[in-house]
Amino acid sequence: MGKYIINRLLLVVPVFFGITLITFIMAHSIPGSPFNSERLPEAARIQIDHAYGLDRPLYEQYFIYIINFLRGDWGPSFERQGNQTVTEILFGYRSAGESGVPFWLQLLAVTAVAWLGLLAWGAVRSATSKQMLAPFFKRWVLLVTIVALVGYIVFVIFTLDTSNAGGFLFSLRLGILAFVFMLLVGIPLGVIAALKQNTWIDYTLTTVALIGFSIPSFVLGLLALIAVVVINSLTGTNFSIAPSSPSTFDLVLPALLLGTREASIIARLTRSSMLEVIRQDYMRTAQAKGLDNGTIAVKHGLKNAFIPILTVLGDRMAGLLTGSVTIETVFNIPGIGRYFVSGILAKDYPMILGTTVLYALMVVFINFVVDLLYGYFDPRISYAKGSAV
Amino acid sequence: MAKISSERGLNGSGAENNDEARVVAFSSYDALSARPSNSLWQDAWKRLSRNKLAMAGLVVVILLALMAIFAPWIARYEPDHPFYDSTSPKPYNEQNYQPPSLDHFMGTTGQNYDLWARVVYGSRISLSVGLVVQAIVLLIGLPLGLIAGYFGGWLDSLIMRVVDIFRAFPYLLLALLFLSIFGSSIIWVYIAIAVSTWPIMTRIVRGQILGLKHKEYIEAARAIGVSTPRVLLRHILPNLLGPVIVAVSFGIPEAIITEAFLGFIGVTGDPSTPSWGRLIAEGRDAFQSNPPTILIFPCLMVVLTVMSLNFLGDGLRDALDPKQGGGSKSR
Repeated sequence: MGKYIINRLLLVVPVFFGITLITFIMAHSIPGSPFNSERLPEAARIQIDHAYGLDRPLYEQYFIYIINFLRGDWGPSFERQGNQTVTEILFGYRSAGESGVPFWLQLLAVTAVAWLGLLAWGAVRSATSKQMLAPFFKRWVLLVTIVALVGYIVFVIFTLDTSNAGGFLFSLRLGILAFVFMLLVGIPLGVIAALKQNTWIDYTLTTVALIGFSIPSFVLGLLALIAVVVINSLTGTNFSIAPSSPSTFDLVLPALLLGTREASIIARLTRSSMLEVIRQDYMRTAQAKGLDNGTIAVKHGLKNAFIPILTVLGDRMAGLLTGSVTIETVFNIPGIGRYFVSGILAKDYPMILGTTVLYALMVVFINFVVDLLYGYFDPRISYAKGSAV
Repeated sequence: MAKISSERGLNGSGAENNDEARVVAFSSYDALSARPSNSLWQDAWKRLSRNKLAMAGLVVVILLALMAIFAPWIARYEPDHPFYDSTSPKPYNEQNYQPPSLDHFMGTTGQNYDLWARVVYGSRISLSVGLVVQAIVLLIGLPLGLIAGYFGGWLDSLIMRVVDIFRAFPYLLLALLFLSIFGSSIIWVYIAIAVSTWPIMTRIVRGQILGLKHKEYIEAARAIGVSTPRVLLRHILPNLLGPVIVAVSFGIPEAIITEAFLGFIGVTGDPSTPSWGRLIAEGRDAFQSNPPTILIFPCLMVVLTVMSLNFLGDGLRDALDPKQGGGSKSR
């Protein structure tokens, strides 16, 4: 397992260099200089190019960029005349007098609380001190810790002050909301459709899922814009749909629209995966034991049907990222997707590179986590031998 | 294991051990051979034609294709012919954005173009993008997947590392970058979308071959000395056709969506190009103070096209690959 993790982490290296190299070459091949449009005198333009190092050979620029990137300096944003750096725009400003508990200490505290909770649970369940520690020797100590940490991080993401936040925060919020919506809607609908196979419920749900799958998220967003305008004109209210600094509430509607397509994909997959599982012998055994239908469906059915869902989860999250570019453009949400599009239109190389690499790293990270979860949920998969599948 | 259980699922018997399962399998084999022998494709067509949604999708797709082919006869006006009512006392620039009428089924746009004509000509762009992109994807993705899956080794590693890199790119970003470099003509739109989506095809083909190449009939073919190209062409490729057709049929609407979004951002063609994405962008800018039909109609055309293609693709998947569909309606 440890070897597998290291192997996967090493895979990030070629992907990182591949992505940066391809993006770097492509971004620099965009015709025209970022400073052409301002009708600068030739001398001033040369001076600016020199200041930003654009007059150096391309390979030199690339190495300088990579070294600076790894040091956390993603370069100035050309679109904003270098007044802001890419990291400031994407991750927000760090206020000078930032105080409080360091983040890693907070995470440590959360872990401690989670373990204390486990201990307390063990204490309630049994009197002897040996059994009290029992939960710690089970597999799911890891799960409880991860759930607590992820829960805390999500809590922090949604409670951070947005006054000087960067684009990444809004994109994260949008993505998390859409992801939760995708799972909360997609999985139950798929399970219901499978349990009611070949009834009108099944037909309705599968057709609805197919329709949801067929509407591109940016078209869905535009139709919602029309609906808001119509509602505003009918009721005289004044909903604003594209605020410059969206609150969590403003992000709910875009997130729902972003998640609709992915939710229908998950629903279709859950249904076919459940149908496969329902035919298995252990389901009949569970029925024969006299378990109630809910337990059978969730504990015996969904738990096994979840494995194929998990395998596509990485791709679906990548789909959410792609969709977020379109939704952020339609709703004017200041997330990384919109900065990428505006960066392309303005030939803002550092911004294009920064956003692309950020997206790529997220995809790689997500796939890594999904692979680990896969091993957790399906113990039959062993990473020790033959990991290059 | 999975194979046995699916066989059991297919003929609905509850055979408890392998011997019984084999007996059942043999008897169902007899039943199969007793029936007039149909080719795989005839069977697939039968299953497809029983699927109402898929047939509805097929009809709409055919209608859309006819609309694209015979656009000049259906559009009634030229897509870039500024149209205005000479009998109206209004000045020229106040006739923008006419609501739908008998003269203009979908109204007119900002430059007084007939929206219906533009939508009809736009179908040419969208459908051609879907088809050409998937053709290029096949040309790149299929051979690479074949090589990676069949030969393995360092070639496989190399191809899969490249696929990994492309997988980490959200494909929309790559297509956008591509277009901003090479300009926005339709040829580059085809290539940009194809180049950013071919890894999907490679992964599908490679995965299929990994499952196929250890099947007995492949090993038998190799054992009697059939040459490698012949094994690939005669034994492996026909077995790939089903999954590849399904992948293509879902790839076409995906490419159409991507093209529409690229047009929406404004990086394909020029403002006079009647692509649906461009029309949607124009509608988005204008719909608040004008008839919202300017935005609704192009949106609906994209949705209708993508939806009917997906209905058809879904039916094709159930028809060609009954196992994967997991109990489709036709069964």
